[in-house]
Amino acid sequence: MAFTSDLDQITRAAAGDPGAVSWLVDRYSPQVLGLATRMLGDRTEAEDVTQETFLRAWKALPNWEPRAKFSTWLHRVALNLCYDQLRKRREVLPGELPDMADTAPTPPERYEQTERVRTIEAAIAALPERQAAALTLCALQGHSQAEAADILDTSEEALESLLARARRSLRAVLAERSVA
Amino acid sequence: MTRHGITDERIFELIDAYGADAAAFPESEREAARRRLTEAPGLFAAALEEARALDGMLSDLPEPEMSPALRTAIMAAAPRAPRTAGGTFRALMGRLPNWVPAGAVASLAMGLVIGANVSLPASASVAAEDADSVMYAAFGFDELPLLDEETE
Repeated sequence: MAFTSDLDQITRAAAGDPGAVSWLVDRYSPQVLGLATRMLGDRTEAEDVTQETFLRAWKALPNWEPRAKFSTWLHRVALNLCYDQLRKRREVLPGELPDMADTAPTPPERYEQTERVRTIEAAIAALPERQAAALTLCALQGHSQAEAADILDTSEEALESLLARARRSLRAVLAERSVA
Repeated sequence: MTRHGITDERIFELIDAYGADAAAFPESEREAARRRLTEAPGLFAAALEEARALDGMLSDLPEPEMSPALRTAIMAAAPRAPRTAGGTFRALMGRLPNWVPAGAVASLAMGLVIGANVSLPASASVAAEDADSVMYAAFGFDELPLLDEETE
């Protein structure tokens, strides 16, 4: 159902229908931004990736192949841009953990919760990139195993392995930092 | 293999990969795993508890919000409808109330009808007089003065 609906909106968006463009942006940009934020752990970089992902989507729309799934394609583009960004970052700052976006002071009663969120976000962003992507797609965004495997261009068995390793790493990191 | 068609070892693997909520398990194994978890809760309690703690932390993570500036930038780069020659006219007409274009069309139609009935072309009236002359000559009335000539 979503696939048919996507195709209709894509056709209209390619013709410049502002309503269809708006529909695609509202439907998919939060997911792309969420994925990029979890992968990169940096709000500014995640926004850049989101914007670039949609720029590429707009260019691709006129020649869109109806058999391709827009959501999968979009997530793949976003992931590849994240991988590129992580690669650049490793070249520039080897071994440095990403800064979290929000460093503003928080009220004392929210401090513990905020710290816990930051720790988990940093732990996810520090995972091997495919593990972070698998965890974000399945555990945080609720994609099915088939969808996530398709986005990661892997099998469902390999996806399960990525997820298990990601969760084990997170548990270890969080236990070490006594967040759990 | 349990009577539900899934091994306990496999259920531990599922919890390890997908967490404590069986709804996240692969669809093909979900029901069998649920039945086994209900049947032997104690066996999986520790694994479920550990997984549930991580699930809770992951679900606490806030979804990043789209900033209006980012949305605007994305929308600004989106495809636009091509501008056609009639585009400006249509855009102008589109802003007017509906009765204005309708009234313009009605006025045009009335003008055409009235114009066609009131002013016959000169060539049409000359052709009609010629036809009358031929008919009068055929009946031998061409020698008689015309009524309007007599009255003059």
